[in-house]
Amino acid sequence: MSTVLSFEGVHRHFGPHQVLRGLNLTVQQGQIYAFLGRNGAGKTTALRILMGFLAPHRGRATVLGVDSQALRPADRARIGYVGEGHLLDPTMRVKDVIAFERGTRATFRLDLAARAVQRCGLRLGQFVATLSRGQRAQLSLVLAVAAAPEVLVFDDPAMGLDVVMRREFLDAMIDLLADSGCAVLFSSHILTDVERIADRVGILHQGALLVDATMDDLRRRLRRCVVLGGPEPALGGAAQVLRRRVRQGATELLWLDPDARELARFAQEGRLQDLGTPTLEELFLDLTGIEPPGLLSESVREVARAQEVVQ
Amino acid sequence: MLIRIDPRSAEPIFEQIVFAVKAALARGTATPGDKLPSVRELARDLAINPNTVVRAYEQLERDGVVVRRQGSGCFLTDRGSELGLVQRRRQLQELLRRAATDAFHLGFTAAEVRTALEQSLEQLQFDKNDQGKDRP
Amino acid sequence: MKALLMRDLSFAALLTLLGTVALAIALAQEHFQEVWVFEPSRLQMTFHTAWAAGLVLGVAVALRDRWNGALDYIRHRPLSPAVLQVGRLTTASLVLVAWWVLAPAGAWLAELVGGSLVSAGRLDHWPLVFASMAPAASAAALAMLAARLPLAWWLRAVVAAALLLVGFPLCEQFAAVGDRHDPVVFTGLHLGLAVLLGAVSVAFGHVERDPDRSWTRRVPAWATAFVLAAGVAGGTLLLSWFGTGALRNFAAVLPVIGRVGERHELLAFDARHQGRSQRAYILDAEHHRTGAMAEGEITDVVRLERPRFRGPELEAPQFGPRLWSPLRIDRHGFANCLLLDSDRWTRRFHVFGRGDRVTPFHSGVRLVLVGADGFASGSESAVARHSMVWAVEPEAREVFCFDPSRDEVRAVPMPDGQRIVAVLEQEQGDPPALAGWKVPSWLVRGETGVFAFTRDGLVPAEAKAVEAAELRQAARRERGERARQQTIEFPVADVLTPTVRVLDAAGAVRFEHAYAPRTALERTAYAMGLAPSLLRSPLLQLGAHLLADDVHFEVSVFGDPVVAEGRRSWLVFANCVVSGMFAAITRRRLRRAGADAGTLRFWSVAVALTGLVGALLSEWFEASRAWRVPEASPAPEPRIFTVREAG
Repeated sequence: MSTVLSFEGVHRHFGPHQVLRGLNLTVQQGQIYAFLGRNGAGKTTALRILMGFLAPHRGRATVLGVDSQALRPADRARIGYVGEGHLLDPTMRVKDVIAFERGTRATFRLDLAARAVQRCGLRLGQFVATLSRGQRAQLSLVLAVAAAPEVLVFDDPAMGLDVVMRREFLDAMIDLLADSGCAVLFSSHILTDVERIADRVGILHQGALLVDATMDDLRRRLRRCVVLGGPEPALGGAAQVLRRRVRQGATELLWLDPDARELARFAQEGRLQDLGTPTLEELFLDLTGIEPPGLLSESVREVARAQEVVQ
Repeated sequence: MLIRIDPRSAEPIFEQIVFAVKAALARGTATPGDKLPSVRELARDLAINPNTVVRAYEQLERDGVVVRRQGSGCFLTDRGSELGLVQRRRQLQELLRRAATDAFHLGFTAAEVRTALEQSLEQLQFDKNDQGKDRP
Repeated sequence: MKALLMRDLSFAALLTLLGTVALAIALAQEHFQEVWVFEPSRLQMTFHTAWAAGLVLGVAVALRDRWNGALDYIRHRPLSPAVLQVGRLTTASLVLVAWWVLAPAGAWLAELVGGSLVSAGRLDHWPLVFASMAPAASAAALAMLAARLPLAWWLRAVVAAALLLVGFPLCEQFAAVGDRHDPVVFTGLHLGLAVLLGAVSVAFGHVERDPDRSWTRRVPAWATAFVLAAGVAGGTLLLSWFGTGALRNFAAVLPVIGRVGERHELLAFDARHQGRSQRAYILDAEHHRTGAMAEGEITDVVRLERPRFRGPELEAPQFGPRLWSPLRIDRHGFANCLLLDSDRWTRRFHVFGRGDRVTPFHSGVRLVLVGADGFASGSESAVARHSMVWAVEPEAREVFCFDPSRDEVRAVPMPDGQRIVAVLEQEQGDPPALAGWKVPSWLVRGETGVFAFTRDGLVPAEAKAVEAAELRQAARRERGERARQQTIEFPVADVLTPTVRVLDAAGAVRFEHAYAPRTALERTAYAMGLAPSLLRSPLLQLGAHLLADDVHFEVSVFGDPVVAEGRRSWLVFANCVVSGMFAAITRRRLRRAGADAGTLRFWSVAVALTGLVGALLSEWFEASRAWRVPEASPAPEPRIFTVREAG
């Protein structure tokens, strides 16, 4: 499997504010990579650097093996990109937009686009300015997908879409993936969708990736439990506590790589209650929510000193 | 055959699919020779990456549960039921272990748990008899 | 590319419509006959409308995507930025071509429909009309370049203004032939300027404004240098304004030389009194004031040249001489033309000289208008509404009479076939003795008599009228003689410290003075007059110092009269030193910010050559912020990481 997208030590600052701090990320062919992070974490900046609209101060980003600052028109034709807000030219009609895409991309599949547009209920003579946000999103996505690209890059594609349209968007993406070995990199806030569809997840936090793992891995290695009584159990040498919360008098822990046997044993002994795998949303909140000082440090001892009271 | 996955489970999705197919075969909901849904269909249905479905089908093929015919799709073979059994047993053990642990936390003894289990099984048998189904 | 143009189609159509309407209205305002009947000499309104429309076109085409919010959308199309920019330029060009064809056609049709088209006009005037509209192209290219620059919006506006105010007058200057402009050269220069600016805008096609990244090295050096030069020109324009003000302040403290009086005294005028009332005083040979004189005849005052600033002049070019396009030239060399006056056609009479329609009228020919009341007045061209028009040529034996009721000129022979010796003129109401008489003010003196003009022909003039006219003539002659007697020359023609010398007819020096600052006030004004020269570009100063010979008293963007003609070399030297200092300061600032060697070299040289303005521009073009790298703590490894599968 070859690498189709990569960030190699990308640094970028705006004035005194360091937004990206050595971002390292790769996406393989056929992979769906979900790029998560809080608002303002730098996702859009990273994607714009990837698309060559912004230059990194250090490091580089590559798309299909080409440096993002040196993307040629032929390379761009192989990339489907929908930026934040699903922006199109508001003075064009739907049919003009399709004709324009067709005129600038050799691999554009007109039949696919026409069918998809019809299914969405859009009229060809409509002006883009009169489309609702959801319709505009649909149109942008249809256009991106109909060009049969090798890579899809989306910046928050589900923004403003209702549940049904989000599902339609997923369907369209799945269709494309089923047809070609397209790779997808997208950022999103709808973590329930991401849980299902993404192969690999990256959580951007304070300029670098806090998490860069497959969903399978996340499911396998993470565990939540509540300490019921007695001292905090140690769940094996490789285990780390990523987050500790004190809730209603009990301590809730998020464990990475706990020993399954130890976990079962302590559960049977009644020292802890196994809450199972955290959802992606819970994981995200735990890792990037409001942080008490000294959290996410390596030493367990340091972690034991940190306390958080949540009312 | 209805395949459902739980994105919250600790098991990788492709493994869940594999298990679901095997379980369906073993349970009898699917018969050998049945065609599995196409990669695209299943992926859309479950809202997952088609590659995951491909991985699952490849695993099933490796395990001998399905056979892929070029252009037609994936078809179930006979051997599914046997292999399903192994996994089902594992699942059963896991289920019971969890139930036992929870019951223990509730403060019941082993004997009480056993009695309750017997009662549930009787109820289940009763319901099944009512519906006229008789399965081993 | 085709897809780009198709996309722009409706937008281009809208712009074409708007521009055509604007230009057609402007052309219509110039009056039909001035454009299509007579040779179009100066189409002022069309010229100004054209470049303004060009600017609007350029801004609209360049910024349309940004204002639509479609910028990202367009940038991600599989089109190179150069192609995108060329697409925009092509759209603008097509709109311009449409304007150049449709606007004149529209104006012409409007006249056909709405006006009283007496003559179809001459369609071969279209090239001259086109030449007046050519600046639309350079203005459009200028706006498109300015929009493309990766600078703050106000700085872009400054660069655009500088290009306009320096570029246009330059085109005009190079196309100038005497007091007119060659239309071919003018058009060629503007189209060439448009092409050049378009090329620079393409060079800037791939850079976007990013205050945290330097752009000067990502663009070809010549493009950066060009934009810098434009900015420097604009800054020098401002300096020149200040410079002229300072110089004028100094020159204002110098007295103005008047004329040499009858008793060979020198009359000087206090320069502080501008306008009508001039205070005169007399200096003797030792330059002492000896008394004041009342206002008298001041017809041949000589003024010291005052420093002028040849600033930006956006004036329409003048292509044709001020000749009326004749409908007919007769054998005598006179032509009559049609002039539409409100809603009637009247005749305008013009003299072309003998058989040559290009040369202005034969020297010495006078036109005399004799009105219905018999009163004659003179001019060199005349609107003959209800008058007879006479033309008189010295040495000829006939006088020409143009009869407006008939469409012809007839020659009226002088009585007895005598030659015309002179034409006498007399001011109305002068002298008082003849008041009450209706006297003709122009008289023709033949060999044997003096004659006056009437509607019916030449009649012998009244003796008193002749007397009055001759008196007047004599007085004028005498004044003229006197004026011709003295010469005023400038042995040292410096703008600040000239030496003036007045010689009489015999060549004796009546007056000589070397002006220099003597009082404290004068010295201060002098120093302030020199100050701007310290801050201008050393390149321009050296050029003016070594090459210029006609920047006498004119400050312009390029020429500084203070150092022209090899004067004040020490000032040029000081200017170089000051510019060197600015270069050093700039270099230090950039080095501290962390700029690389190439950038340091470029700006050191650029500021050394351009002085203060260059230093200021480097502050904005190459901000320190673009090079600063904030302290970046190294990125931690991800807490949860899945190793990739090999392969």
